[in-house]
Amino acid sequence: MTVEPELRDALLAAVPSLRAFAISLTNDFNRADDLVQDTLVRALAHIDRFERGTNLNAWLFTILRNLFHSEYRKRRREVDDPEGAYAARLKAHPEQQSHLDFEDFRGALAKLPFDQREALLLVGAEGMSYEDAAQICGVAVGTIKSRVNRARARLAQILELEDDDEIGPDRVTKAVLAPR
Amino acid sequence: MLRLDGDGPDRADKGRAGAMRERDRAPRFDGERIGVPAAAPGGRTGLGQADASRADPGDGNPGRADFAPPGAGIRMPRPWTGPWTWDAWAGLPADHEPAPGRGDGQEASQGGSAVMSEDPDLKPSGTVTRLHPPRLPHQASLDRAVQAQIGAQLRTMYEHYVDQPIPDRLVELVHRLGEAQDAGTADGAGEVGAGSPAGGSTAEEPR
Repeated sequence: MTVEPELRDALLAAVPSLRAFAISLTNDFNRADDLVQDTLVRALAHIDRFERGTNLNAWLFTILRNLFHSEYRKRRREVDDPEGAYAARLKAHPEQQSHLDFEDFRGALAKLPFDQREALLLVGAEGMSYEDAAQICGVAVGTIKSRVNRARARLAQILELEDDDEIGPDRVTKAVLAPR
Repeated sequence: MLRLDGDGPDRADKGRAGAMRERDRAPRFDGERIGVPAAAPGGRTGLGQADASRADPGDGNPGRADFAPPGAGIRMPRPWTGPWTWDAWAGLPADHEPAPGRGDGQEASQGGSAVMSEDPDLKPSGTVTRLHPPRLPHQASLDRAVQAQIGAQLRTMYEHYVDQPIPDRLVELVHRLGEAQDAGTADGAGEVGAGSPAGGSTAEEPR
């Protein structure tokens, strides 16, 4: 197996994004690192099957997602949190509103169904196109769009978002930052 | 009375006309009673052109009016008396609160819902007329501001994860990858996978 320097650099550059995606999927840093390590090993083992010039990130994300499905999900080691039990255990610093929002959002994200969560992460967080996300998830583009929309609506419902004041700086901060 | 043939009325017709006039004095079909909206100028009803043609297609033929109660087929719609709104048609009170994201005048600018007509007679000033019924709250599209907030929060969380330092074991894996590349052998890369949970042995290909 030979890995060109350019390809190796691209692999290394993809690690932070892979790790962020894995953390968002698993809600567990250790498991996320295992997942990224497995992904890199798997990618190296099959690097000859990667078509040079195509989207390396999409290829790596596909491996990571398939690993998560085949090994982790089948073993049911992932955090099943339909009732929000995991989210309820999340700790936050009450004196920091932004951190509280962060944890609230993280807990809300964990409540999403897996298919909606991964679609929202790929499109909304990773910035991938609907086409790339559809290819990674192995579904139609319309399915990805539907999942993203449902994920947003579900998040808004969980977070009880109704107006501009529900997320982001609190009213006091906004009052300070507001132009006079 | 509307004639169904092209010839002038014969004697029998004239005789029947008197009876029809008597019958017209009986309680007549009133569209308001069964919820048919008041008519817009030009003979249209609130149900649209298809329903307007049901009352009187305008070609001298009563069309489907023969299915209506006696005396109702040729009755002209009541004159326009005020701005027609969807809420009024739906029987909602005047102080009805529209569903979120609806009825706030943004539909036309966002292209979310069609305005009934550009005809000024059919589009009273200050009123946006919708063709589709108001959607229920759970069906309402997510407000753009809320979508933007969710997107910003999602990216903030994701960037927080991206910016975190790579753990040592992954750094070590990366170094081994570099050493394997320097050695130019496949065996070196094989060592990278040793001890990993996946082991690098199973061949799960990306789709």
